[in-house]
Amino acid sequence: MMFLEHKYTIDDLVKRCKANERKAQELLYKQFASKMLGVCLRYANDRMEAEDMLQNGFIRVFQKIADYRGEGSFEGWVRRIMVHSSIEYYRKHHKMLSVADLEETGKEPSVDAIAVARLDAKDLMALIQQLSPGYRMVFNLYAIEGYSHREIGEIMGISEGASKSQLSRARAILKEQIVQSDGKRYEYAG
Amino acid sequence: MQDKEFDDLFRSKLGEFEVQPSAEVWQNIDVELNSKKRKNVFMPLSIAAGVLILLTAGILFIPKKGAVKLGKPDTNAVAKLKPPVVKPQDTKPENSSETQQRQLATVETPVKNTTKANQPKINRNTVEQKEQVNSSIAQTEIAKPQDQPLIASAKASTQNEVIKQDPIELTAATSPENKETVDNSTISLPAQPVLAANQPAKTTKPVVKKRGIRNFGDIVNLVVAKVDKRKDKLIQFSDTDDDESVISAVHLGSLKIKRDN
Repeated sequence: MMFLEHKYTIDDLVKRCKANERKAQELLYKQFASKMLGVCLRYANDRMEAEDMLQNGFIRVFQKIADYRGEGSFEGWVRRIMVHSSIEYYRKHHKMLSVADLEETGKEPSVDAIAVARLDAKDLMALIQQLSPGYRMVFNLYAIEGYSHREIGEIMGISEGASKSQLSRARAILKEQIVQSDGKRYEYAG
Repeated sequence: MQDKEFDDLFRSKLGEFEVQPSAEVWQNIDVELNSKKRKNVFMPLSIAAGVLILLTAGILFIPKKGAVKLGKPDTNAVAKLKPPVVKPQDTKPENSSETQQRQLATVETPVKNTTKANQPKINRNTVEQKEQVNSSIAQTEIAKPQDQPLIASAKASTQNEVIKQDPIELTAATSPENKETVDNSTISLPAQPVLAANQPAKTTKPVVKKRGIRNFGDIVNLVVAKVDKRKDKLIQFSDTDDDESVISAVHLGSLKIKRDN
């Protein structure tokens, strides 16, 4: 019942947004802003960049809202726009989006699942943000958004193989960081 | 730990991560949406306004056919009158501009006139005399505003007539067959024989050079004179003030405003 009512409200807002009603646009923004900033943050170096991405993304949402035909969830549609807006932002502001050739990764550090589980969202966000942009994009798109390597290749303008190798390099870096921070944690504890 | 498991942990913890954005974000979006909307509204309006302005200007600048026809025959007739002046200056065409200036000066200062008329050959002149002439020109300009350049002034119809009657010296000089008419003109102007000799100098060219373009108004007058061939130009700036340009006349179809200087 609650769900239905909520669904109706969003649909109603979308309809009013299509009519370019400013109040509806504001309500729709408020409905999704926090969640979408959470998305943008994963693609950004810091919060300021993330808010720029969010702003561009929402302007595009309102410009393109007439194209939304009600196929799939509206939130998913908005999220996809945020992701594209974030990548677009990096294209504009950082020319080196595609990462140079990867050095051969050494032996991957083995990470305890419990160590990862111990980290909260903020820690994980900090880990992702310290990745270089190319690794960060690929890891986000694949591991969290669930895109395929083919899709990632298309979005970022790289080959499928490059997407795969960048993903495994990104994972290796993350694991290394977790092991290190986990070690420090034990040092403190000890 | 499997890659899949590793990715899932990140997804479960970050997939629904939420952070409240600062209030500025919506304000910026609001501003940007407004500016885009305004653009859409005013674009067609500004285009329409532009077309309207172009059309109006086009209509206003089409010269009246009647006025143009009247002007040309006049100048021809004037050309025929020129010869009288020719004779005294035939001997020294190369000095034409000098002599013209000189004579212009003399026209307005009758005293000097006589002296020069008496010594036509002096026109070849020493430097001193040139200076004299120049100074006298300067004097006359200051003293008599109606002597100012044709293009700049273009004031009143009476003045235009005066200018038209002024023969152009060079053409006169090269047309000996006009002598008859010359004689006629001299007859018709018996009262001022000396002046007649001097008048040819009053052609516009040397005067314009002397004055040049001094202010914005002169530029506008020059351009308008080129484009608008009517007697009453679309817009005219007064030529009396060197420092500032004052609009002296506006003619927009039936709307005519004229200020006497």
